Amino acid sequence: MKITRLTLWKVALTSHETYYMASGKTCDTVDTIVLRIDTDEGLSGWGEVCPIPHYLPAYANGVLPAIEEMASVLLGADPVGPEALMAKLDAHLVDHRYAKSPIDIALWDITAKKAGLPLYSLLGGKRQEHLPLYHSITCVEPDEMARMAKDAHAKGMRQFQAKLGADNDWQRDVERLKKVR
Amino acid sequence: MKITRISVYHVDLPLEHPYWLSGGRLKFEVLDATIVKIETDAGVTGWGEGTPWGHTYVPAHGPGIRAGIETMAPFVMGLDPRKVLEVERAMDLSLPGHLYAKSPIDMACWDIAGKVAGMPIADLMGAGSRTPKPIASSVGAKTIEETRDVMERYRSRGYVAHSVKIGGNVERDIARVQDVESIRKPGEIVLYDVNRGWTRQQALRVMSACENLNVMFEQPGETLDDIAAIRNKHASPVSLDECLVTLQDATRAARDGLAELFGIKLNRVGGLTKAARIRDVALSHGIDMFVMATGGSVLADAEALHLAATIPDDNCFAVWACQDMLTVDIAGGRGPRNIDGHLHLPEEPGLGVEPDESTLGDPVAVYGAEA
Repeated sequence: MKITRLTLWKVALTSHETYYMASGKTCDTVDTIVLRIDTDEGLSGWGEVCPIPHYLPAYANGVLPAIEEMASVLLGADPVGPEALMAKLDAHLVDHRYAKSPIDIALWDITAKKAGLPLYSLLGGKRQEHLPLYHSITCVEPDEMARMAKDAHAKGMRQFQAKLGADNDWQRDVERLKKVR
Repeated sequence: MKITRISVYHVDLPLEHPYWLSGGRLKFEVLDATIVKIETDAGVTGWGEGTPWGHTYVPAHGPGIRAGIETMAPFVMGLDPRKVLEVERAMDLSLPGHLYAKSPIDMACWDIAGKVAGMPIADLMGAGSRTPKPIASSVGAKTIEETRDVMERYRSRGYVAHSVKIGGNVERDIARVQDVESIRKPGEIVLYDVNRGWTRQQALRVMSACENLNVMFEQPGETLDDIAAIRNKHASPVSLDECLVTLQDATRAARDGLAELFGIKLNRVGGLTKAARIRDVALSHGIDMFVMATGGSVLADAEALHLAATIPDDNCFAVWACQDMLTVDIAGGRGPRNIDGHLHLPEEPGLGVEPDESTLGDPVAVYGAEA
């Protein structure tokens, strides 16, 4: 099997609630990068990376040029058994792991489709039927954060993450924690 | 004073000779340079450059510099470029990591600060030594005979500092080190640069065999952990290069005694502002330095020269002139040039060299006020 084409989309994702974190970092709309890898056998694989802005050494604008840099290695290569091809990418463009992650995901998608198995079977098998979600609460007014936690709880959420520090006021952070708790 | 516009240029800098990196990594013939022009409301303009040594050497590539600047530009627009720490913090807040994308902006800000102060950058940073800095050669030969030929060619042009590339074959490496030492002249500085090309056993075998020669090795393993693991099993001074990126790398190496030399490459560590801190860690721990561009034109060489000039002469072994490996010159012969194997600090304010805009083509991106 050979990779014949890479298609990339940049999609703006707007969250239900604007996300405020410490140090003045804010997320309302974030760009996600979606990748499709096509092959000469008709199988395609999908990958995605959605870096939270100003958060880690990863950003949406850096993904496209990095994948473009790696395209010459990918096109014509065998996508089945992702680690061999990922090692070639590591030699071709040092680090930039966030830009490589959608490729890795898409290669695993193709590999699993080729095997006719869900991906978890290739990764060691299924141990759990259902995985709980957690809910992340933006750093706003303490009462508003408590309301968000209650709403999410009513929808079945049992794990929560509360963002603190956006207004640099530790006493309000204590209040946030107490009320959300 | 405020930054009003950032123009980004993409220039291909062809190498005179194609370059093969060690370990079967890709051959390349062209360096991808990003030249940055920062304009201000005071009419002062600064220039910066970021030119990685290809994309297979360290985590850096030309398109990544340009994408990083696109992301950071709105955050540095309107700042006072002379307040380099404020610019640095704005860049670090808007884009964690990616130090290589930040260095051209930092460099252009220092150029502006120097021009406004009427001083060369090195003087503005506190100490600009006028002692000409030896340029290190880059001896990439494989055999003993070729190594001798290449070194002789450099010597005839005045070079007294040499970076001899080794790695990959224990017996050949030992033989080449022994031969170079047998022809080394008094006063010549030779650094044996492994470029991460040894595993731990290879490193120990070569370093042990060369122990009586009293030589220095650069980057004798892939990571700081590799270098730390063999630290107490050999007697050779070690220089850190590729894995010296952050201030934390420098402090770890200084505290744990992992290196006696630092190879500070400006683009890799994020520019002059961040490099100056690494310099101070080195000076306060008895660590000597080589200071270089990762690659690029006379602009990048000049940036490195300014930092080198702020280091006491005895603690700075050599700089580099990547410009001599290129077939194009974007600055029409201006700026610090190779004179008998040395670079001389420019006396003009700021960086001391500007490119000919006609050689840069149209900018690939412009942020801020329209022309």
